[in-house]
Amino acid sequence: MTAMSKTTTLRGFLFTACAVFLLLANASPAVAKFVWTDYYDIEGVPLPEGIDPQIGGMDLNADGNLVACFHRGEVMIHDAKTGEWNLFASGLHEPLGLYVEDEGSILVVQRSELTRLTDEDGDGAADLYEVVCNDWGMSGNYHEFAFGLVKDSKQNIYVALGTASNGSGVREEVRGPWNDTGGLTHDMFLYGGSHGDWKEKKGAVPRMYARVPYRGCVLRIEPGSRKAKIHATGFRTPNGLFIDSDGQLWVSDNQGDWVGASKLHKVQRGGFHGHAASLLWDKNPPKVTPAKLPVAELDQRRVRAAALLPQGDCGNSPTQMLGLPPAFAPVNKATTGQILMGEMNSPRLARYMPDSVQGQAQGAIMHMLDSSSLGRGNNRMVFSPDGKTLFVGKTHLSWPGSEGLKKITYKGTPYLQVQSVKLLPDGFELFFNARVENTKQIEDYLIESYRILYTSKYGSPKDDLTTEKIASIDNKGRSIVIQLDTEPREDRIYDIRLSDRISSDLGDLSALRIWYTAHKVVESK
Amino acid sequence: MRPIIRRVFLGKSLLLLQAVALQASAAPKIEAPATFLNCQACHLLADVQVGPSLVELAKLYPAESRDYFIEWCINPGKKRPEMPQMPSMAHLTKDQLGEIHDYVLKVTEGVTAKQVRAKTDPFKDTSRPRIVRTFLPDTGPASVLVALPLESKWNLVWDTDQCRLRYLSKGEVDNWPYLRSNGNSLADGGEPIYVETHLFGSDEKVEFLGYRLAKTGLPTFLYTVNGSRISETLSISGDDLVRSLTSSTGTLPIVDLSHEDSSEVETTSAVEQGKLTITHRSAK
Repeated sequence: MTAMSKTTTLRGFLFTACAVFLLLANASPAVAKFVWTDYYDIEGVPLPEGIDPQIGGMDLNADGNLVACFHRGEVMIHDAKTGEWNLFASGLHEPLGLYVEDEGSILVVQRSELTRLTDEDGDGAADLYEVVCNDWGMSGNYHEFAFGLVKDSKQNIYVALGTASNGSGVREEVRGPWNDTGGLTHDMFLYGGSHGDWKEKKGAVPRMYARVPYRGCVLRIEPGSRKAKIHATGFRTPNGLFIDSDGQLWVSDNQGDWVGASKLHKVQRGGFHGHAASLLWDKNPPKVTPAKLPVAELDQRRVRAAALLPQGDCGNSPTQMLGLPPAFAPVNKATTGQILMGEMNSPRLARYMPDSVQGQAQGAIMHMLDSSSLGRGNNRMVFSPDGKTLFVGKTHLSWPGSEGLKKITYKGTPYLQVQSVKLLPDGFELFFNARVENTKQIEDYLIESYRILYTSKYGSPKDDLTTEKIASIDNKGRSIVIQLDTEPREDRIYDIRLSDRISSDLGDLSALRIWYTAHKVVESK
Repeated sequence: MRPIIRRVFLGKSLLLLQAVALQASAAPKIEAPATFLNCQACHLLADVQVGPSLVELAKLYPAESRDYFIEWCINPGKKRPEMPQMPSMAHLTKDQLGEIHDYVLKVTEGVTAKQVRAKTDPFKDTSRPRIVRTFLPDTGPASVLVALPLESKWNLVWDTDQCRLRYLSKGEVDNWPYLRSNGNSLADGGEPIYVETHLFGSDEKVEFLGYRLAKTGLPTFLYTVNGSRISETLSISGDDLVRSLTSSTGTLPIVDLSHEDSSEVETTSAVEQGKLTITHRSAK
């Protein structure tokens, strides 16, 4: 134990040194004076020895203990009292979703199937690994992850399937019928050995592809059925599913082809959500490779995301979502329906603040818990039963990310925040959770707007980037109204940087930057 | 399957990640071009992620190799078996790619690569029995490997799509090639020593239902063949591997034991009281 304590101390020192450097390197007047760790305790939860500490799924069991699945296929249960981890199951294939059922059984999504783990003999470990559903294809492409897992009040289970990447090909043995629409036959995707070099072959295939069933779709598995139904199409790498208190399904997706910026979708049953590849599995599939369909036709058809998270600035690789409970932040009724989102590449989380314009779900994204103590790789999240503590499981899967498990507890002291954003005919109204001061210096604000393009290319530049001229800022006490010279325009992102002088009885503003996705605008009366 | 209590462990790789962060933050701030967002999901400053680090790229493409850099980005090849193919950046202009090259050279000045992805598995597991689900050679993508508790280090590979044994292999199982390439390479499942070819009976309709683990840690595969529910139990008897099949309807499936020539494995089978027993033993 002595050696272990030494290691701990050394790590503690390194980590502190690292944090100090980061502060120095980033010290500039634009950085908020607000420090998240004044309001939240962030600590690491020790993980068991010998386990690759990448977490693919988490939930709480009936005892309120954490259940987590790991990169190498283990499912472990944490005993919060003793700190011990007990092995419940092992040998699973890249599990990326976990759900504890009322009966005590544990559902896990692995690459190949949705599996129910049951401890039949009561010895604390699963003996039955039962297939709930394996009704989807696998080409053997590395990028075909299976993400999950949520259950709605009718006991329907939702799983989302990643598309394959043309960074690589497929295997000779695949599961499910190969879809050769557009003349793209299985052999064209084989590579290595006698099949030839992938560099020679890849030119013929679209960027991300869905040639086996139902890649790029969200699946619904109804109770008692082993069949998967296609709930929605149009996803690329949907590594986040969430059912809100109204039973609405939300899914996040990652930037890439057809996804100009990472996004948060309010999923429409039967809807096409933008990524073309999965249209092969639509009720009325195209007769050509989906990526060759006219962009205007796809654009017309697609469901707009409730929020876009422009790459680099706002979000890289969003992960799981959860509803934001009042016990975890100084929120009130105005924040009903707000969603917390995990973030993989940067040390923070994101918060979605809904707005609705002409029936279009849209809204704003703001950063939360922006802190080097949190770190990156924030893949899976679960709240403690009282909602005060958030557990964040990390992963990287060899992309930028991290490892381990963090425990974030709200200390309960209120802090100043924007708690909702409303689009107006001529600008924005931002609501705060306290009366705000020092809001009126227009030169302290910067509002830029741009378009995110919908194309088959990877990502989107900030198209038609425009600095918006602010006409006026009106302080209404607990809100400010920002009036723009040019009325907000449709299909644009508004990147709103607030004055860092804004303050209140609660101190400085916790997050100074807001990205508003304006698919629709408010008509002037 | 006794619950295993594991002790507190502080991951070595986490420490390394922090060391890299320390170095990166200490370097002077160099502004990345906006187009760099196309690169940063896969290329880190000093760390191997999906693709090589910027430090490594700067060595491969020094200032005089700017044209090669641009050419590679537009029409990338694939050199490293453990990494996925880079997507083409043809949507960027040559000028933009040139700016990215400038940035790569500047931002890596004085920085050394700190972490190379390990060549061997930092969490190597050689325990037996154990079940590993991964991508394996010569079988379907949804297969189950069972590392058998035999001194001979035999493994069994069972395909959940075809609901049948595909092969027996010998040797340590190494899943690191799969893991270190993020699933792009196959695991090493040992040397095949007995490969069933399944020449007959390929018209059956099969459905995989899952498996049940015995106290020994060995599975009983559960599946249906043309509607009959089959249990296929693995057990060890002396130095032999035994597969016992029973059927819910009493009608056993036709098990096709055709296999490639095997000098190492002797296979016998017997039907008794509605149970089919297949025994595999080392050839003397």
